[in-house]
Amino acid sequence: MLRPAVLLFNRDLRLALADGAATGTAIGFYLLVIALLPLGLGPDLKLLARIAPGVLWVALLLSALLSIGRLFDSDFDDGALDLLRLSDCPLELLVIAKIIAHFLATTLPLIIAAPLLGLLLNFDIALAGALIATMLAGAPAISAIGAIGAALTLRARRGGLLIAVLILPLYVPTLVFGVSALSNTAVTGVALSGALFMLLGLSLLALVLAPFAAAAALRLQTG
Amino acid sequence: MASLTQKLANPTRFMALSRWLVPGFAIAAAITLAIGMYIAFFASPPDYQQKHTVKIMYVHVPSAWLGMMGYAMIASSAFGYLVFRHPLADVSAKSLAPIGAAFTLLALVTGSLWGRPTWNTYWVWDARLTSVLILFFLYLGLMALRAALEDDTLGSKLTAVLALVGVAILPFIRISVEGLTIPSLGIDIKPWNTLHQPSSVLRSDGPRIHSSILTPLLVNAAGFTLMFFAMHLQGMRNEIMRRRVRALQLAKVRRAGAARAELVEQA
Amino acid sequence: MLDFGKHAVFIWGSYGVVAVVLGLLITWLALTGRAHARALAELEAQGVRRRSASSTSADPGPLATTDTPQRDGAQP
Repeated sequence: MLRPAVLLFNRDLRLALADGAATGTAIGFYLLVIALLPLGLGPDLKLLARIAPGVLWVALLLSALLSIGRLFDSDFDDGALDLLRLSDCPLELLVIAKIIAHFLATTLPLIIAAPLLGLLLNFDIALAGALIATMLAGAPAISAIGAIGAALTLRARRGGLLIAVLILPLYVPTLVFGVSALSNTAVTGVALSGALFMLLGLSLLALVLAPFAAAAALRLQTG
Repeated sequence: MASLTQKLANPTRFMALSRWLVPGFAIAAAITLAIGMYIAFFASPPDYQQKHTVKIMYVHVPSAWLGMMGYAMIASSAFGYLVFRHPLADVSAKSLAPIGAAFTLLALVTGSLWGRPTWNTYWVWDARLTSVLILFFLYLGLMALRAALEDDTLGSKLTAVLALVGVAILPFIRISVEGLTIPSLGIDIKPWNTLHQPSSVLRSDGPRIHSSILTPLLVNAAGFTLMFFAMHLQGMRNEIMRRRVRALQLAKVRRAGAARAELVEQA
Repeated sequence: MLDFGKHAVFIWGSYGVVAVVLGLLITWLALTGRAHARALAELEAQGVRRRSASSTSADPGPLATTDTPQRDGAQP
């Protein structure tokens, strides 16, 4: 029963890695959004350092969202989605497989790149570990909630703009807890804090529940 | 309660019932608001600290309550639609969205106008105003999704899914924006705006509710709620009629097509 | 007159905005209702029935009512 999910995971991962442009474009987008901030705000290093965590998180959300918004598009277009529905593996598991493959191929590189890109914002590189850790804690929520958006906007007009309008409000807790967890870690040196627990809880809940919502939406879309 | 929703499940019966409910609620709303506004303007003392601007609260707070109530109603309608396939649930959800969004927008605007004399700024990222802003975004999302889908049925079902997803994340949104403190459990999550300390200290509690202020507040809240119900029911009537018009137009076209096919055959 | 001090413009502004927005909402609901009712009356006067005799369509319409099949035009 798990075999289709594993196969799907392998296929998605290999496709994504073979097409390096997907990851490259996402990182490029991330880089550009981050670079725009100083261009717009001026080079005051102290100001940039203060806003760096928030900017890195916001840009990550935008990059990840626009990338994951296409998660089901190609499968829908070539009819693979209909075939997937017929497999004996529950659609929810297949969704999780796709989410994990997309995370490894796209979101993980973004997160690893974040501290480096943060240098453009005078981000304290000593906090790189904390930044990556808190982003990883929020990554399941980002991917899972984004996948719901992908499933909802599959056949909709204005897909890119629409998914942002739908999903960015749902990203607010991830954003707030993520930045809060980072500043707690930076200040107290202790990784565990209320915000981090909330973030982990949200991620866990999203990872468990979102596949059901996404699968339901996919079933509705494929009739 | 279940049998009430069952009774109202029949669109024909709903139309017959709502024909009287809409004007009934509307008149009740008008009377209640008239009383409420009279008390607010002529019988309510100025607040010690906020002078007369506290009168804004009489429209701001009910608007916020109704915005939240509207979304809760959308979520329960969505549940009824997806799980119980209640025939009028989607009609209810669709007509709720613009009304709830309007009240949420009013909460934001009146909140902003209240903020200006109180805190000297038109917008302040106060925890509760921020929550209302995000609620407004959730409404926009629902309306945007429905508008972006050409297939009406698909739009109804996907919007219902989105509404339920929104309601599931809502507790997290509230906690992240407004914080959560439960000392007995050792939970202390600061609201987001304490992360970035504003330069001035804002009193975001609002005025303490005094009975002379509470009365006009409750009366106006009741009046606006009655108005909400009247608008919701009328919106549902409109949607039911719209669907019927479309169905009849389709039947008309089909009949004309069939008649033409017969003529061609006879010729 | 009602003097609300130096912040009067905000108080009147708030009530004004509320009146305008709710007024627009009520007007839109009322006008839409009247337009649909008129369209319905026209279509029913033309004798259009949802399930016309020659139609073989299985679609009972977007709102599957529990109406008896013959009587279709319920008064709104």
